[in-house]
Amino acid sequence: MKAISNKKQYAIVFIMTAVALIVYLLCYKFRLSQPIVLQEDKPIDNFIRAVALEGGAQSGMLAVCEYNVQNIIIFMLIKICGNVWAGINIYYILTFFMISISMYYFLSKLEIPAAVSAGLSVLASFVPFHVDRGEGQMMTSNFFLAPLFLSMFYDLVYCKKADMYYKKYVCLACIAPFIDIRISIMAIILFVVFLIQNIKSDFVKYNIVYLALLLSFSVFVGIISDTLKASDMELANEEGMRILDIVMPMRYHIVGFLSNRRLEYDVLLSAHGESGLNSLGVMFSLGFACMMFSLFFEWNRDRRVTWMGMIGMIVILVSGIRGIGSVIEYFGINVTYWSRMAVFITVCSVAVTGIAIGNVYRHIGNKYGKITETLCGIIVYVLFAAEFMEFILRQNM
Amino acid sequence: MVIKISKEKIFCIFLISLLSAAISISAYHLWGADWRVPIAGYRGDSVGMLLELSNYVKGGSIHRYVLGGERYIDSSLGGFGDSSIPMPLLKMLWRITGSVEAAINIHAVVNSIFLSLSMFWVCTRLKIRNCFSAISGVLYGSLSYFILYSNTLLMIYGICFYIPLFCYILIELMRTDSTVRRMTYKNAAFIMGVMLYTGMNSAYYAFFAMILLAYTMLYTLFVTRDVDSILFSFLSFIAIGMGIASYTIPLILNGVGFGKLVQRMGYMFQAIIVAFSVLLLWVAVGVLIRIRDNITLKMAYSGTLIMAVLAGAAYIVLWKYTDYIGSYAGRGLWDIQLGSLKAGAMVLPAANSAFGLGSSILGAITDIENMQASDIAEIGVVAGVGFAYSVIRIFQYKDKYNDMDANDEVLKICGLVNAFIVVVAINGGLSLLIGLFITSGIRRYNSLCVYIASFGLISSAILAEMIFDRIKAVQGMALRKILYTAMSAVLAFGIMLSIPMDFNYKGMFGMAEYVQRKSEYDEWYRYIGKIEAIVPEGGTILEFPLHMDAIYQGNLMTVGRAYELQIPAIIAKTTYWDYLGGGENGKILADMIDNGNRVDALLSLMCESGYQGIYIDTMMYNDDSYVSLIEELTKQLREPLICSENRRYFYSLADYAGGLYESDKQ
Repeated sequence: MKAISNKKQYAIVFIMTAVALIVYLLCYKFRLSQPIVLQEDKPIDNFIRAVALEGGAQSGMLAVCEYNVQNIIIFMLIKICGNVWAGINIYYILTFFMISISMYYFLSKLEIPAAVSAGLSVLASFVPFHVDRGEGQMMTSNFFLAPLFLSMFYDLVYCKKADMYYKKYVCLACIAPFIDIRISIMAIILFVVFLIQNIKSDFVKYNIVYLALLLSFSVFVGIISDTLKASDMELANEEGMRILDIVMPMRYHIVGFLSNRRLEYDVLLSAHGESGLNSLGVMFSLGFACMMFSLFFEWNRDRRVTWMGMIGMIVILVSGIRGIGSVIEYFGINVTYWSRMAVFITVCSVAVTGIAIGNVYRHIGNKYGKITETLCGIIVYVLFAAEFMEFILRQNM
Repeated sequence: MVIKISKEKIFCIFLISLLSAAISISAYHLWGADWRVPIAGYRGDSVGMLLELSNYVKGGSIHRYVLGGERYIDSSLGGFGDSSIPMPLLKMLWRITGSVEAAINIHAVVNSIFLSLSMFWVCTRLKIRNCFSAISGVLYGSLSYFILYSNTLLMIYGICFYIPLFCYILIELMRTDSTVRRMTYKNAAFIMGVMLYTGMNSAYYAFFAMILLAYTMLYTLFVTRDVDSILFSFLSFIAIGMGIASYTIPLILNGVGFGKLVQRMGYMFQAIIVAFSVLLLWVAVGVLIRIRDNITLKMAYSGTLIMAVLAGAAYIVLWKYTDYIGSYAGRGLWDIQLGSLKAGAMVLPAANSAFGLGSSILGAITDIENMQASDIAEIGVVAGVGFAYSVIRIFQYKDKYNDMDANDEVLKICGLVNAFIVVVAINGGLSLLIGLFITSGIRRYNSLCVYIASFGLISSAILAEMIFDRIKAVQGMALRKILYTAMSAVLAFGIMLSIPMDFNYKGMFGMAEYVQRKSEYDEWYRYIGKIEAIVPEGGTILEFPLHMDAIYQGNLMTVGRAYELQIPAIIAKTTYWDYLGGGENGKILADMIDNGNRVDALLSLMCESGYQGIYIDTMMYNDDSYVSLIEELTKQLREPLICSENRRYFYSLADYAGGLYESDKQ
């Protein structure tokens, strides 16, 4: 896709996502007026509960929507369609495109070959973090913000491109809290860590503006919206992230043996919280492992991998069960579902997988010529297809 | 070799010792109190420690239990194993004070001083200013985890002044510019000494040390690629392994029929193993120093590969043919999860800090009123700041933007090891894999907080030094003074948040205030003294109940009172106490009671078995079955000797045995 223009590349990603989505929806016998994936025994967003399960909003639209852009869009879609689930479903379908497009944006920043990036971007939109949480936790579908935040950090922190103000990142800092306040708070935590990390350099001087904007708008949303007002320390302590959940086989894995192992694990360790939905699948788990190894053994050949490992480490420290997130929670920042911060690990794992596959792909292309490169590309896409099937085919379908 | 210590350093050592002692004496309410009253009372696992010391000072050892009389003299008590290292020092303190309780109390204070001095030494070795090193030292010695838990409840987790030294060695092995890791006799003596001691002292810390050492070894293999570091890592593994062998070999030999030999040799056997280990390590070091110049990195890699293959083969053998791998003593993955580390607790204030600062946040995040072991794993705010800061600084390189100095490198290493500990020890971390594939015997990974505290305090000291240097560079005297004052105030506040000022005498394992502990202590001595006045010297007393209901025992354990039957054995001077169920006739005696046999038959058997008295602790029964036993015994024997709480009963069998003897003669 090297020769193809930027817009066309995104169009290809869009089409690939559409194809994958059709397969996914066919597998789940999609009906527009019925929920696609909804687990009522798991926590459900207040908004979804109010409009879909409790028969509509009692108070004003903005209050019901918790001053959240996503909820407002869903609300409008519901009004346009005249059916609650049709509106929710349409938005849910759109999130797959948003994730794959934003992921492609991040991966292209990392200069991963476009062919690899496109496939990975589509795959990223089907990770269990997204599809297993389903429409009950529609808020987490906003995980397209994570690649955007990571793109911002990559530019500003890793590449130190801080000598000018980027409009796109200013916009992101201003809008993100209205899309998902939780992910914005997590981004603020990472931003603060980067500031402390680079305290000696000029980084602080140039980047404090982005942090100030993100912080101000997050505080504003925190004040006007009810999302962060419900304090539940005990739930916050329980809903932390567990490292093993990330690398364990996903729940109801299509391979019976893996499904059983996962069930045993859940039962033995009472791992029934949301963290269990953070599984990455085989391919991205390898990316995660690679990222952590790179961090602990300072793999200098590509420091981006180490850098992402560091982000993963901060996420583990903050969002682990009774991690530093619990301390933050005590001070009234009621994120509660800290395990959702694993979205940054998910995105980084995808990126590291992309870097690894991209390096091999590029190396083969440079050394053995175009035909071998194409063959390699086919093999990579067979792997992607297998991973896609692992994500969507489950025992409980 | 002459060690030069500056006057400033001597002053610091004196000050640190004084402060550490003052803090622990104050926290344990020892000022103006009777030092013989146990700090933790006769509660929880501290009873085990008192029992072990009592056994030791009366001539026993791990494999020779002298408190129960002849019938138990050959017993090997598994619980007495990796905790025997402090025994010689404790015995010395016992000789001075004449009380095992006082010896352990003094040891708790002395231990705080050791921990502080060790941390201070490490910080000064890392070229941190004396004042910041001293603060780190005092904070380490007064760590919440030590003061509130391991110094008194489980002492083997308190005696770990070698942990900062171990952490220092890891830092030196991992950094690029180190002198300690050069393969010389002097360095080898220091490193091997610390590692051997680490292995000898506590199985828990030794196991954790091996995990951290495994990481360090891989780091030296793939990052620093320094042959000396790699060799020292290998030797360290062997040294720790030998340390562990010093108390496991006697246990193994005892189990395979060499019990007599082990008993006869007692602690000497351990000493011989240690001496042999020292000799072996010395020879290994000597050989390595001689051939060092011929060892290349490639050879080191090959050696690692061979060792890895051998370790893999050994693992397969252990897995296939023994039950050492995986589940151990009924402990499973769930137990490991329960004992996991809470990363958030690492930045929390200490429990019972000055003026109760931070108690509300502590209460919100941990269940401080009903502490389980993992809730006590706190290291205070100062160490917590260092911990968090070091993890934040793990991604730093020397490039055009950053100039890394030695302190930055130490910070990075501290951060890497801290991060590794977090990945291993937190809930849902790699500890579960270790439990699954290696052993679930080690279940309280929260104890790794002592390592985090070491690295954290080193990082805090470096951070404080960096801030100090920055302020020093500020132009303008007045501004500088203001900044120094502000820094001092922040540091003072952090210290106040980091030191527990008061031992938790409520809720936790049923620990009681001094007045209650003193009255219990006096009552025990009065009551056991009265019994010993009746029973002839060397007589053995059988304790009831012979067996405790497991669930009831578990309930008593949570309030620290499951081991009450062991207390008389600690206190007794001239008698032996059988709380282990009646020796070889124990089963028959238990059956007789369960089947409601006549008490005279029971008494006859007890007299035949050589018991001179019966002791009943009614609190240890989960039902009222003792009521009928007491009634029957009171009918058959004279009125019992009852303690002031009306809970413990003692019957002398002297007259009854005399009667039996007379009737036999007739």
